[in-house]
Amino acid sequence: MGEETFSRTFRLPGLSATVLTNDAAFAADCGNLFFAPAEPGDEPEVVYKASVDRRFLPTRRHALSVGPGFLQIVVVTAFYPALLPALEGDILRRLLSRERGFHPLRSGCVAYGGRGILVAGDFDSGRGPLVRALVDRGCEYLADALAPLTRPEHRILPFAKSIAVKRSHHPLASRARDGAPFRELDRTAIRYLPPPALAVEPRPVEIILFPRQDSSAPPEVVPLSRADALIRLMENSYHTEETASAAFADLSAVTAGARAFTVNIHGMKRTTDLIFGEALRS
Amino acid sequence: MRKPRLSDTVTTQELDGEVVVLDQASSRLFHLNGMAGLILFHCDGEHTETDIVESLRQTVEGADPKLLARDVAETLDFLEREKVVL
Repeated sequence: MGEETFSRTFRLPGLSATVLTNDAAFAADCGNLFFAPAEPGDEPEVVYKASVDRRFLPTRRHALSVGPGFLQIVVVTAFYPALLPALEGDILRRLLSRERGFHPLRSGCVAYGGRGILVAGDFDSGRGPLVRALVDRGCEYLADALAPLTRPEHRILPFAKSIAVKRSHHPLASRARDGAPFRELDRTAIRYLPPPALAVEPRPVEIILFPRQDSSAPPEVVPLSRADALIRLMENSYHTEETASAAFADLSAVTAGARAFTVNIHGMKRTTDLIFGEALRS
Repeated sequence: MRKPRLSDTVTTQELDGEVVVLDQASSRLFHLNGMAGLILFHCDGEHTETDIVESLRQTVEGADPKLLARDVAETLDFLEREKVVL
């Protein structure tokens, strides 16, 4: 494998990281996928070294090993679908392992008319597709998987991560930019919506949605008590035993100032019609 | 007669009349309805179970004293079992 002569440095709230690689296409992929580009003077806290060898097409094997101040990812396949989750997972672990002055939630976030809308839930709750659908209907994209909540103001910061949309099937595709993605096996069907600018004004949380996907039930948007919302937000909060009490206070303040709903996603158009009719009406 | 008090590891939040309890020792959350929340807020180590029943009888208009006493006892049993109160 060759020398690592290509690099990308990213910024996100509270962390900057550099990827060094021997593969120009991989470096370009990183630029399309993740986080805001570095600004002059940014010093990366962590460097990922990705050595790509495209001769071993079907192997799909990679290893992530930690050295002093250095992480090395060795890739021995051209189609490296597991690499991005490994990279993303490590970045998130680093981000969450330290006090950064904000509270991270396992939640997407969009804004509509200046109002922050949390979409909180597991990856299989329909959170990501609902965030995309809300952006498609005019909401501003802030985050799709991790929403940083500022302290003590309890506002949502944008989290700079691009989102993938299918080129031919999704209306957002016309707003996306070309890229050479590696998250999906089908490298021709996906484009990426650029990440939100980190300079976006933090948004107050006014609406909290907890999506689920039950195809046997009709689409519905049901108001939730604030106490229920607090419990669900705690379930979607990244905190430790030591920080649980602070998280509890933060999220209590958020739920006290917001309206919360459970959303059953069944047909995205009908579901978002309901959200705009029930949750987003003034 | 027991004089229940909140565990040191417990934090509470009242939202729209309901109460959410975080027990850091067990990393568990409890959702209490309004009545259970009222009972919890009397658990200060000073009030006896009888005091709590009497206080609630004055607060909750038209409450059946026997049912109230039973509700208080069952709620305190639950909160003690879960180590929310000691």
